[in-house]
Amino acid sequence: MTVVSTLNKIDVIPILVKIQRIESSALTNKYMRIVDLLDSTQSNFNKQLDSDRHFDMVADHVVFSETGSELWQNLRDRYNELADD
Amino acid sequence: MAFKDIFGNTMWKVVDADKKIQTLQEGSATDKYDQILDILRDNRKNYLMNGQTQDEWTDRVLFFSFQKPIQNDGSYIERKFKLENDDIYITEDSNNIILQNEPVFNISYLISKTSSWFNSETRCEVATKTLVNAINEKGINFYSTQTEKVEDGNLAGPSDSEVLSLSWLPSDYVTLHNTLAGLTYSKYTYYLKLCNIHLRYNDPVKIFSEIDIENTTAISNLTTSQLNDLLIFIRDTYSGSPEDSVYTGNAEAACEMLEFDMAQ
Repeated sequence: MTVVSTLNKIDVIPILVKIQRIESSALTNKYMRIVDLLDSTQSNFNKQLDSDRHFDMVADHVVFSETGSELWQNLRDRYNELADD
Repeated sequence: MAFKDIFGNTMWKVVDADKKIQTLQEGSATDKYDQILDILRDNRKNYLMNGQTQDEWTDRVLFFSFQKPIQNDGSYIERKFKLENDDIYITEDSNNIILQNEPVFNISYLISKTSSWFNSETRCEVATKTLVNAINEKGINFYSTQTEKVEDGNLAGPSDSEVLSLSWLPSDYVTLHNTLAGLTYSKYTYYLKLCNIHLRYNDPVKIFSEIDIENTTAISNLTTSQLNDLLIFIRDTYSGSPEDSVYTGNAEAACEMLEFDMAQ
């Protein structure tokens, strides 16, 4: 799936909320949707994250990092892997 | 009959007034809406003599009245202007608009109206903005009267249960909110829900979960064209607020989340 649009201003918290909601849905292509969302918002992760605010929002099967770009890569790799299964 | 009273003569005045209004609208004069409102006021009799009803004229006045910029704190600039009779004013602030000494858009007047009365783009927009503005003022006042402090010296703010209960909001505001929220789904419903979410929740995770649910509702109720119009309306509505405002930032995030869902 290609990047649908570039979402410039959205913060990391709403992105993680959206990922949580897509992951808990019954959509058949939910992991591809998450990858699409991540591809649309990569630049928004280029900052340091606050573990108190963000850690609990990341699924257990993803490795958390306070470095936003690293977290983005971990999320992207994991959900891409799930999409391929 | 004097020449100035001939029907055809007043019709030309209406045409001339409309041309001037159109030119002003397309121009960039900072006081263009004041000038348009003056033209409407000066030509009220002519409009009424040439087929426009009092309601239509009022709706038009209200439409242009609300094209003015929103101040940094989210409120509208108070403005008063004279009608034809020098001692009659239209006054506007977040709580009250008085037209010819009749309270047209205050909360008490609005809650006396049934849903069908709001079946007009202008009335629905102005009523929604009036309500949101009034609620915001009450909200700011509610937060500013909190005195309890936390260990670091900052204000503790109200508890989640206090915020959620809406006990700080006058019951007529809640009644009007429920009436407007019950109208056929539109961009105004979405705007009201967005305001409601911010009123009820402090936690950003909860706020964005609720926004995501509302986005799903919007997509299931509106066409693509209506959704695009909604995005423009929400962004325009918040464009006068400070860039770093949490409220503005959340509204933009809501728009981007909606854009993502629309593209799926």
